[in-house]
Formats: sequence, structure tokens, C-alpha cells
Amino acid sequence: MNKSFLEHFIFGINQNLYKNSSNGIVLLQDTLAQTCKYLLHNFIYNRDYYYTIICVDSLPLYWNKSIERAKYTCIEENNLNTLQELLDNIKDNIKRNKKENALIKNVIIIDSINSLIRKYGYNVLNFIKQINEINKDEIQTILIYHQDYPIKTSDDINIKAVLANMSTTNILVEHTKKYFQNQGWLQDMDMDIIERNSISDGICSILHEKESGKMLREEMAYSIKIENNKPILSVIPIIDLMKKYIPNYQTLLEDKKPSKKVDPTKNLTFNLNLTEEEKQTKDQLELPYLNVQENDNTVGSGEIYFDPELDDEFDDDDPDADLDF
Amino acid sequence: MYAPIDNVLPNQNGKSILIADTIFADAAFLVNHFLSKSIKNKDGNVILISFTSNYTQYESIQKKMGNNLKLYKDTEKLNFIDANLISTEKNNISLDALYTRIKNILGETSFESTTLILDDITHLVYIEYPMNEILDFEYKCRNICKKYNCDLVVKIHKDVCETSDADSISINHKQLLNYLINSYEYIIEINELESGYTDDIQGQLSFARGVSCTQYDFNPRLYHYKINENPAFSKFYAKGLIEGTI
Repeated sequence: MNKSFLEHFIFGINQNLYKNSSNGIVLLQDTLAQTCKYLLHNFIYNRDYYYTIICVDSLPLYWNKSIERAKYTCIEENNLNTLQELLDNIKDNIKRNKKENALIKNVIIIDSINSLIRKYGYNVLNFIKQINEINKDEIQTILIYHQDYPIKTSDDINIKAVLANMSTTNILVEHTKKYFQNQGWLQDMDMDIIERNSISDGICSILHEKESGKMLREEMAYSIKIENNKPILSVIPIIDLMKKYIPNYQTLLEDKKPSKKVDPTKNLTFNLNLTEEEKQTKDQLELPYLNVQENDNTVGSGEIYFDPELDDEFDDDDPDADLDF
Repeated sequence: MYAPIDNVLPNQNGKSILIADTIFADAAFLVNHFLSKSIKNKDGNVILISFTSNYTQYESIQKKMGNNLKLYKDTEKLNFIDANLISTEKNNISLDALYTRIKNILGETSFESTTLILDDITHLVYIEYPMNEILDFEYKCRNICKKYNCDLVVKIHKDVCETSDADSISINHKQLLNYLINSYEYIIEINELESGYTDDIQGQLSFARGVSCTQYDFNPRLYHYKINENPAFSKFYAKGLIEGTI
């Protein structure tokens, strides 16, 4: 479990396993039932980077309360008129960071990408690429995407799919009960409105493209402890939450175990099996043209035995005699 | 009168509260409750922006709650702004002008705590006010309330559109609703009873944690309620409990 990507994402450990995860684009998704912000706060607490937070939905004062000790700047998108102005502000911020803090790594957080696209349309996709291009090795972009917030495009393009393709890492944060309901494990217990944004636990589904191009899939849970009025996450296996929420979780685990080897001849409309009698008859059958039964020394000899039929014209002459080499 | 629900939300100033109701479970009683609470607070004042109701409606309900709004009208204590005629046409009130007025009032107030109430923001979607301007206005109000440590209470309907509706009003309504739910600290939802109808209970009232809530000792709660004409006789019950029965 200590090799889990989620632990690496939250705590920054196992850098060797996930070399390319500290650059590129992260699509951090959440739903109305469960916010991704607690995960993001922990990412920020555990990494000494410089953060530029683009506040489209959230207020700078919210980040002041949540990540007070981190080194960051908030840019209020509301105060700017174009994406170019926003990009220029981000570049100025990065330059200032190098000068004042000398922190190598910069992380740009956009909260939220839904609202930015709603306002500026497809130009935002180019804008994201331009941010990344400022310095590919030293910049990571985290896009907060709300799954339940519809983005209507004029030609019905699936914006989420486009963003997912642009991203190296896709993380979906779900409410534990909703996750179990989607799996069909918790059908009788509906999630109550008051259970929204749980500060107890949650489940993450991760898709990460490794440096080699191989895709890593992971589903991992986290539990939260409140310390000094801050939500502190620890990564746990999903089974721990199954024990907590699903009374008959053991039955579910039994159902999930791989069953005995499947018999391919079962449930067919025709018979593929042989009875003992049929097997004996088959073994006794003398096959024409096959001398294996008579002569055991012929294995690997490569000789061809030709028995001409009565009607065959057998010619002893060399068929290649007329070739002139 | 509404003592059981008064203690659910933290007492400190600077909260953002979203009230989401339905056609069959109206939250007008909650808006009036927050209005009454602010009026009764001697250190506080209120800016009430009404997009749908007129002043006399609030006046008559507040009278039953023990508040004489006539004493406060056009004073610093109660700033009532009738935004029923809001539109993008010239010579009508625009959201920009409304925001400027709010900013001026907050800048000049001598009260310690102010409550800004927007009742009901869905109206802007119905009149097809440009979405970007609605969101811009809402963000600026939320921002300025945070800066001046004021409470912001916004009411929205949540059941106008079906999920499959493809017209622009339904899409904008859903966008606005989800945007607000993703931005506020406390979400109060009023719903009909899950399990049918009864004379003793009108609906249920949920207090949930919003995305931007940083008070981790806040306990989400669910109540069943019955509102009486005389608010003193309104009742709130924890779910499953009703006087005399379990």
C-alpha cells in the first residue's frame, strides 16, 4: 500500500516510482456529494512548492483560512477581462516566486475549470497548454473539475473527455456511500443530503499515465482526522471502509473471489465429451498413413513415406532431370 | 421561535448560506427568520434585496414575528431594495448598479454585523439575465461580504428543471444551482417529506456542510418542521421524533 499512487500524490513519497507525476496536468474531479478540496489541501500541506491559485469560484479568503502556512498567491479571475491577462498574471507570479522564494517547483491550481470554460469557451484548452509550456519541468497544473456542473458546448463536444486526454493524471474523488452504491454494494442505504462533503472518509479512483506510457489504475480510500481545525488525510484500503459501511461485506468479498476453473463443455447445445467406451474405441482406431502406432523409432526422423494408390502413375525418373544448372 | 434551528449554524459573522427550496416546500419562512434575527440583533443591520416579493409581504410576516418594519424602513437598520424590475434594458436596475449600492451601504454602515439577503436569485435566470453577469454579481457580493465580515444568505429554487431539459433557462438554472452549491459554506435544503404527507409535518429541513466550510466542528442536521401562521407555534423535530411519539 505504501507504493500507492494516492499516497505518493498526497505525501510526495515514492518519487522514483512515479517520476513524471510532478509535472504535467492533473484533472482533479469531484461531485456535489464529495468535494476534492480536502485532498488538495493535504497535497499543499505536504509539498513545499509555490502555488498560484486562480479563483474563479472560490474566494481568496477561503484559501487564506485553509492553507495559511503555504507559499501562494491568489489571482481573482473576476478582476481580469481576458485569458491573456490571466496568463500574463500567472507568468509574473512565477517570476516573482523565483526572485523572492527561489522555490523551484510551481503549481497552478484552477478552481474551477468548469466556470472558466463556461466563460471563455474552447480558448481555455489552449490557455492550459500555454501554462504548461511556461516551463514543462517545473510546472504542474491542477484543474478542479466538478462532474455535476454541466458545460454546454455549441457542438456537444465532451469537454471532460478532452480534459482527461490532456491530463497525465486523473483523480476522481467520490463520497464513500455513493461509490458503494454505484458498485451495487449498498443498495438499501441512500446517502442523505446532510452527509455531503464528509470529513470522515472518501474514495479515489485514479488513472495515471506513467513515463513509459503505461496506464496505472488505482482505487484507494482515505480517512480524515481533524487536527488544529484542519482535515488531515491518511490512505487506507477500500476494505476498511467496506467493514465500516457494509454489514455483510464478507459475503461480497466471497462473491468477488475467482471461482473454480470454468468447464468449457458445460451448458452447450451439443456434446463435446467422450464416454469411456468412446475413448477406448478412439484409442484402438488405426489411422491410415500414420505409422506411429507400429514404429516408435520414427520420432523426429523427417522421412516421408509414400504409399501409391493403384491408379497412381509412379515414375522412377528424377523430376528435376531437365533442369540445367 | 426557531430556537432549535438557531443553534445549528455557528454564531460568527461572515458566513455564506445557500437556501435551496422546492415548489412544494417553500423556504420563505427561513428568509423571514434570517430577516427577523438580523432586525432583533441590536448590533446588526440587514440589506434585503427582493427579486420577487414586495415590501408589504415582508412587513406583514415580520409583524407576526414581533418586528415592526415601519420603524426601520429607510433607516440604516433595514435597507430594502426592490429589484423586481431588474433587467438589462436601459433605465432599469442592472446588477452592476445593484452591486454598487450594496458596496456603498457596506462601506458606510456603522453596525458591527450586516446580513445581506438575496431573495430569490432564480428570478434572474427566469428573466434570462446573462449568466456571466449573474455569476459575476454573485461572486462580487460573496467577496465583499467576506471582506466586511457580513453574512450572505441567498435563496434559490432547485426543482424548476428536469435533468433532461435542454432549453437555455433549464441549463442556466442547473449551472447556477450547482455553482452555488459548490461555492457556499452552509447549504440549507427544504424538501417535502420523503415518505408521503401528514398533517403534523410540512417538510424536512437539512443543514449540510458546503465545499467552502472551514468550521470542522459544524454538525450537519436534519429536521422535520411545521410552520404556523403564528411563528411562536412553529415546530421543528429531529427526524423520527415528534412530540408524544418516537
